[in-house]
Amino acid sequence: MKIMLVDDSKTMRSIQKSVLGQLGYSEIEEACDGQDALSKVGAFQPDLLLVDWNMPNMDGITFVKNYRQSNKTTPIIMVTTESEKSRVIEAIKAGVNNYVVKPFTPDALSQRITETLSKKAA
Amino acid sequence: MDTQDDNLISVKVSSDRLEATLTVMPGIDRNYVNSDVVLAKAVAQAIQTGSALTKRISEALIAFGDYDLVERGAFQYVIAKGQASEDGQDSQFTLETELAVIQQLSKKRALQAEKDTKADEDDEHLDHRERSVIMVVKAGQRLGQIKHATDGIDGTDVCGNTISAKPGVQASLQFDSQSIECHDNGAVIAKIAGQLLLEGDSAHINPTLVINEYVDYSTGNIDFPGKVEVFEGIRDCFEVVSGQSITVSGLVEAADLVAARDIELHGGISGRDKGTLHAGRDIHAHYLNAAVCKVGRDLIVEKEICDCTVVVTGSVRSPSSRIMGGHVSVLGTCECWQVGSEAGAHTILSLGRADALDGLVRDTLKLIGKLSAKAAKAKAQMQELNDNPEASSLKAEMMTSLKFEASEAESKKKPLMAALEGTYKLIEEKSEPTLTVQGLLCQGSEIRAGGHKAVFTQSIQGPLTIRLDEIGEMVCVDLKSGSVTPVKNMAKLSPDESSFSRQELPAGLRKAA
Amino acid sequence: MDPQYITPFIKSIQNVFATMLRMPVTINAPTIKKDKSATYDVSGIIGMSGDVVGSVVLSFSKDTAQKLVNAFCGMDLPSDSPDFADAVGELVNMISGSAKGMFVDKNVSISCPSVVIGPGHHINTRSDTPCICIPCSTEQGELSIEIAIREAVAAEGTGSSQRAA
Repeated sequence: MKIMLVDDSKTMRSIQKSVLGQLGYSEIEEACDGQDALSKVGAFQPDLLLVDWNMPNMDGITFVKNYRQSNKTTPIIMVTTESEKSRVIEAIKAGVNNYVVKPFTPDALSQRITETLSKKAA
Repeated sequence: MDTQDDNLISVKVSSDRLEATLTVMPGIDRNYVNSDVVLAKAVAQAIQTGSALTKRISEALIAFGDYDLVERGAFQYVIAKGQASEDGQDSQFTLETELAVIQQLSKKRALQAEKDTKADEDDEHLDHRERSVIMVVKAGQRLGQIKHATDGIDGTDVCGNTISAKPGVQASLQFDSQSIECHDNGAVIAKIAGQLLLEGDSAHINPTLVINEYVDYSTGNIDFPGKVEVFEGIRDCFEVVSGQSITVSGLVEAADLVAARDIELHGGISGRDKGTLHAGRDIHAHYLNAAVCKVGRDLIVEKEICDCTVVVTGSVRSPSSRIMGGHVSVLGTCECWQVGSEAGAHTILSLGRADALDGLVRDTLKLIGKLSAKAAKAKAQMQELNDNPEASSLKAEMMTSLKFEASEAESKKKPLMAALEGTYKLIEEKSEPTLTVQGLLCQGSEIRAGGHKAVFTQSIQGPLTIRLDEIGEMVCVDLKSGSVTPVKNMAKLSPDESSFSRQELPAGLRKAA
Repeated sequence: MDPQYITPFIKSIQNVFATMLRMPVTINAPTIKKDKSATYDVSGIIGMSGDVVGSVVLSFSKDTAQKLVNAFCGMDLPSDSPDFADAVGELVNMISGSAKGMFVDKNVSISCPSVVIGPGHHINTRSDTPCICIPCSTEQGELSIEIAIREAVAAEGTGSSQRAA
């Protein structure tokens, strides 16, 4: 299972990587913003993306919209501080499959990942 | 017996018969002085014998043994004592402390008024309006304690005779049994609420407070559960609050009157824009001048309502009165002699209005609006999600949350709509936007009704009625000829922004045309 | 500043510390900050725009910052490493983001965080916006969160809503 982490914060990427490691996922690619992610997805072909919203150069929503133009199926989980309903709806409309609000416990993140992946399997 | 020695020793009883004293004079043969001789002397005086006497005699003799008659003169020793009697106490009624304080203050004020003296230096710093001199009591309140007369305790003289005690005098305190009850333990309790009056040895409670002169510094502010009658007037800045009605014979100055029932002014109020009248029911007055008046039911004024702010939840029934200047709002009908003045005093008359209820309707409408907007927003967001064909657990979660938000807002709206309906029905039932002017409706007068504001461009001679026609337009009916003229022909019309428009109401509540 | 904006920050800082750092934080009495100099040596700054404008600063001593960052990241990060500044920025990002989610009926955006490290630095806020300082205590040391925000209409005077009317 290949997973891409898109977040401008290295700290967040490390935390998410650690959770993924505990779940047994080790094939992980990191991107520091939407632009960086777009340049890497083609080669990496992730099975799951964890995307932050507020990033420099290209924010998470813009990246998701761009990504969805060529890939409708790969599950995307938004991991962000944006918690308002209108933001969540905007994310769903852009093509996000699940949503985790920061701050999150490792359990909450792993639960969302498991849920998203099992739904995809179904 | 040695007569000479015998003459030098004596026992005498005091005039009050409470002491018997042994006296031994100088020159006596000391050997003559012995217990037998002293006892004999005591018995001769009819002093009660017994162990006490014997003991005292022994003590006397011991004291005599060391006594130098030559140097010190006569020897004296009390050998018997009686017990004084204790007279009984007269009966007493003690007022409760808080009432006693008021009583004292009342006496002080009366004295000051009599002597025409100034208040004490200490008093100068206090607000005398707050220090009422009227003893207002509530039903069930403890008024004081009766202490019954006591018999006293008899005494005994040295001869063993009883000294009778004088019993206390049982004063005949008269408490009015209709208003006051006296318990066996001496507690005195008020049966009714009112003014406690203590006159001499009688007490009663008057359910009506009668002030024979002015409500001023001599009375302080009044807060009385019953009816209040003031025979003179009420001075500036004083307050009279009654749990029933207030009647004032003289002038009410810039004072505040609050009555749960009626306010009756045989004169009027000259409020200087400060005085207020609040009545739960009717206000009757000869005139109202520069005051704020809130009337729970009807307003009846004989002469004039001048420069007042008046809110009437019932009707204004003043066919001989002029309404000049100020703003009168009346929910029911309004009848008067004249509106406005030839001099052009700006007079506003709002018909079919009750400001407090208007405010309630407006606030409720605001809340309903907010809830409607919240529900609409949630529904719009649900629609956005529905338009997105992709199914996901996140989408399902969001839909549930939004559904809950929408239904919560709708369910909160329901009781508000019911309350609004009730309030609006009350306004509609009681609202009778009709003005009858018997005399003159002056140019410049502003009449507000049905959401419109009409400023009359000409004076109109009465008798006339201003009302709303079937389509809600203001019309003027000449009561003599019966002719009906649209008010727009005689006044400048504009929307009345101070009133909530029927259009603001939810559709179900708007009165059918 | 409207007190309704203080409670979200208090709740947010408690939530972030409990969730991400797994430690409690004690909130002490807020005060108005008069001077511009930072309370401590390390400051993470985030700007706010939209219906609410201003800035939020999370400030702590270098020593406390290091301990908190270690708890956050699960590893020792020296204060001169870029990852240290990144972690501080992420903390203030989460606190501000979480707080702004609790503002009622307000559309607010937060900027990317900036981090300043060094003693005696000054952070200038708008002169027309009072700065509320909320001192906090943790088992790893003291810190403060300084909030200088106000509603955009009040801040700008005329306000876009009036222009729209």
